[in-house]
Amino acid sequence: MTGALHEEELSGEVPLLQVEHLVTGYGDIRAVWDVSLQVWPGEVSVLLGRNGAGKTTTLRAISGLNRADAGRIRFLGRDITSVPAHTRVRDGIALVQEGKRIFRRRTIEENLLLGGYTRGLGKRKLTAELGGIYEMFPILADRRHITSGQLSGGQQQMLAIGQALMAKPKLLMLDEPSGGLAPSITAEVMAKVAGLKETGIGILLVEQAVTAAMEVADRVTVLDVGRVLLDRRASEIGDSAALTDAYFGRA
Amino acid sequence: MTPIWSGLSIGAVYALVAIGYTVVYIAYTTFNFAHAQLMMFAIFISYWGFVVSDLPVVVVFLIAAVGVGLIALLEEFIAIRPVKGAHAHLVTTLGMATLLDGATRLIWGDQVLKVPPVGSDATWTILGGRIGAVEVVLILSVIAIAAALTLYSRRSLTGLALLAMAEDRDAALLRGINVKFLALGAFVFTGVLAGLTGPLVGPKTFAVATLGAALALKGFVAVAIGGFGSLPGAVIGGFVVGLVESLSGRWLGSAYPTIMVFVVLIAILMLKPAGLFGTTKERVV
Repeated sequence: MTGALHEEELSGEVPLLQVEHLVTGYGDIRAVWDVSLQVWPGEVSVLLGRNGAGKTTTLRAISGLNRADAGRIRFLGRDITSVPAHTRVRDGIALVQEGKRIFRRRTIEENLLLGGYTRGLGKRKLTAELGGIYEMFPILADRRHITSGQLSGGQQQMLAIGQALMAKPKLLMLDEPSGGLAPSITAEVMAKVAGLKETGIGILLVEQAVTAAMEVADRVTVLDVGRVLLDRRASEIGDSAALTDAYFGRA
Repeated sequence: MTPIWSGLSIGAVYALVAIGYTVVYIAYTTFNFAHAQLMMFAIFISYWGFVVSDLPVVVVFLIAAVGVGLIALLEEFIAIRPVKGAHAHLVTTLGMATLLDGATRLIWGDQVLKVPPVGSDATWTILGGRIGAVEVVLILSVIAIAAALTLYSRRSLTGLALLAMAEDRDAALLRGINVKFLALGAFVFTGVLAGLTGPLVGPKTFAVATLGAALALKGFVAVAIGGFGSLPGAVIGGFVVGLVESLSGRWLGSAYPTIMVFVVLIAILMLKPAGLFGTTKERVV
């Protein structure tokens, strides 16, 4: 079930994120029973699975929104299982939630500034850094003073990613970034994700659009009912048959 | 003109209570129904400071600010933090209000106590109406406080973080905003603000143990008229309530002020259900 060791594991380096036998849920309702996965710097780990497989809950636990009932979460080798959510953001973990959860009543620029809040730089220094985000998403630059609730779905998704990047994360987690978007916009978002790899950021991507996700994936983990069905390097999944089998519960 | 000045100055008191409700609403999406009692406590502290102990003005303001700030801190820990949701907070903060009402009676009794004005007790004739210096200061202070808070919330990063928190607590947490700490700060701030403004309000309202309940109702109506979560709305709402009360008392008779306040409230909510400055729903997809 578990894939071959990562070459860096053999060389003794630590992964960016290491989740070990995570158990979590919402209060008394358990959604994740035993999930282990890794994300390495400059790589995309894709988390797949049907609805209710525990993907979103896993991301919420890594970000600190949900408490881990058992298991360990290590970030850069350090155990962060009981670190509060807002501190994890400062440490370098950013989650872009499903459904483009930006602050709709605030402008694009205010949303981006809030993205950098955790760095404690002050407004002027943060404003000076907005250029980088506008360069990446030019559509946001033209509309910077518009209330972000008025943006289209695709633009809101780009804003959500830009907002997360303002925190200068080392690990970027994206929950269904293609949700509700037209295929052409999905391709654009995925291209941005692939581009981010080059900067050395590690990415953990949850996606229903399997084909689009596989194009950027370096590592794939498939969940079913809160447990890991398959965990491999993307290069080892030659054709998609193994993936399809896992996805539909035949692994 | 005199009823208009009088309406504006009592309206300023309601606006102050409404500002307190609004800041807590922004930080917690819930109401602190004991806020008017915090202001009442500040008024009694200023009575004690000015009349009983004959302390210097600055010292009275300081004691009121620190004292009521500490009560707010205590309230956050016993009435807000342990329970979740606006419904639960309705019960716990009303409990706190009852507690403060009772404490006020125990300490200062039931009689109406006169609080001397800070500085001049002069009365001026402006535009043909009479208004006291204290009332002018009160009206201008309220406008200045609301303007400063609005500016702070829009321009500073911490203010933006508070507004973000009001909109989506989880999303704010995920941007690294320490929501619990920031909300606590906002809550204690409303206590300190009530403390600092209490000595200005006292000469207008007098110090009496039933004041909290009266201010709470009118302050809440002011928030409903202005729109939940809007600082300019809280001030306009406060002035509307004060003016309606004062003018209907003058023209319709002393039985009408409270009735007319609710008639106006219902009329405004029928025309603008979210209140004058309430936000409407934005595009979702």
